[in-house]
Amino acid sequence: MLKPISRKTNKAMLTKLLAGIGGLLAAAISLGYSLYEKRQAEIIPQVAIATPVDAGRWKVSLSAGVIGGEMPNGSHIAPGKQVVAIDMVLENLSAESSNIYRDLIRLQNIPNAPKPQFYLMRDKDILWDMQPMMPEAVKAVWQVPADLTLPKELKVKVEGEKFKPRDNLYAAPGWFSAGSVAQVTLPLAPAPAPIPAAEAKP
Amino acid sequence: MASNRERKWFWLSLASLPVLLVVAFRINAWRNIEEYSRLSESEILTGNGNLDYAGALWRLENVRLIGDGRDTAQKFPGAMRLIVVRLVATAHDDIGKNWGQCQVSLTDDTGRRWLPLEVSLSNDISRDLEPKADPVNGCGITSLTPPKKSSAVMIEEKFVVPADAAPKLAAQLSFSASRPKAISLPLGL
Amino acid sequence: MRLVFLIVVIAVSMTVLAALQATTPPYAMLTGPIRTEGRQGETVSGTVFSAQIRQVQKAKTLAWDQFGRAVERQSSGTWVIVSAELQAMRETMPVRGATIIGTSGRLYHQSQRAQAAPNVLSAKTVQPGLPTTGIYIFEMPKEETRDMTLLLSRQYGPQLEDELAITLEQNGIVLREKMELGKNGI
Repeated sequence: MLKPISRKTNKAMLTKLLAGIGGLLAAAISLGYSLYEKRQAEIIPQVAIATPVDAGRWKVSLSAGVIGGEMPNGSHIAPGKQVVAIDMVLENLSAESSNIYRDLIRLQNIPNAPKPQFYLMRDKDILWDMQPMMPEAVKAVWQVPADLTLPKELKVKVEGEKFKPRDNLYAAPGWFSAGSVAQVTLPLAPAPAPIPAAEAKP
Repeated sequence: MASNRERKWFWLSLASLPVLLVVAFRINAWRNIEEYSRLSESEILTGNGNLDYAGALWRLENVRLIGDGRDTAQKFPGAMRLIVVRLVATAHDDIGKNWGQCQVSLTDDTGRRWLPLEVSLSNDISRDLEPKADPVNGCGITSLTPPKKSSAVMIEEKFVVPADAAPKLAAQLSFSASRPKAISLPLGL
Repeated sequence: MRLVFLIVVIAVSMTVLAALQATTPPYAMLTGPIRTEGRQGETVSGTVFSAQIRQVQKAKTLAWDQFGRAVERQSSGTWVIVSAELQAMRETMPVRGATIIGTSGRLYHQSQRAQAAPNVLSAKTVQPGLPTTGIYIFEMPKEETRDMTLLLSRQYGPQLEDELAITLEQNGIVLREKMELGKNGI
């Protein structure tokens, strides 16, 4: 057996050692997890045109990309701007009417794209709430600078959301961002004048 | 083990914990009560003319009851009536920012409250009633530019009320800085 | 001995803490609506307002006049038109939050596609002592209309405020091809 004095220092050493190992372990796990997440995030499946994508809160199938043309509701385009639009069929998979779809689609190869305005093709009017289980033909419209050279095809990411029955702050149910779930490449065709292209009939 | 001194401090801290907790709760509750009283109108000063409130003297200038065919030929369906209240405030102090978040309402003796019509509808009605005159501003707009010391201002608010409540109504007015104090001027209809 | 005691204490405290955590009502529930239940036809009274549902109708197409222009709204499902009478008990208030719980339990808010229709209640203000009548319009899939409960509140997502839950009758609802909405309701 050791003398009491050295026993005490030994114990202190052991505590320090344990704390050090714990800290290193925590750092290693955290680093490994973030690397794993990053790797996972990079693998986003490429999806063909007009294929339904389940993004958690929304189901969307993107059918065509359009350059130019008018706004679907006939409102005028801001001066110095041109229109890039995507036709799609959108469905609300959640259990409640919702209009939180503005972050669903991200343009990859158009820099600084603003948030799109969505139009309901059935009414040729601004889209508000989407009702659950009622898919609709919808057009998302971006107004981008007129002098911007547009690519031949649009690269688009679909952003997923996942449901949490109890969130971390209020223990309230809610939808939370879950990263990109799909990539779609859409050819960009000019809109036939004067009616907006690819008018979807119900 | 710990020395006597350490032990003393330990027990002292433990004993002071309940006291500190109570103090913390008190302060928090006091803040909440303060905030609540900024929203409520619990101290009401009632009078017929020249009530001193928020740096001004207040009186009822004019009240109109429209919809029964007496003030104007207009008759509203059922028991619906329109009441137009004009108040005049004469400032005797520098008001500055003390007229923020104006609340005007009509109250009856059973505690029911009628809130004024919103600005654009109110102005439309003003133009219908007096096509040539400019609409008189309501309390919300007036409170942004309160009258200077010893000058007066008129405000007008419109309410939709049931006919049977009209005889018991009083106009109640308050500002954020003066709440929970409010003034009440019986309409005497 | 001391070690066993320590382990027991830790285990017990972990159990107690887990039990406390599992049984704590979530914030969203503690600050949720104050619900009053009732049926179509009767006057359902909360603490600050009451409602009586007069009639429920269904239609495939809605039509109304907007500034002299005829407007038509079609649906892939069906329109549900609920006519109601509202009363405010204490204070001037709107009743803007109107949701139907469908057969599956999904929540259908009022359709904004029909918000410009005449006589829509969410555009009105209810004054104490003056019963206010009008309609709420919903769009939902047909199979969701077999069993419906209407939720009414001052605004959507009421917290510590009245919410009336009114079961809608199924008898006598006919699905009409087209419904004209006039100034005086349906």
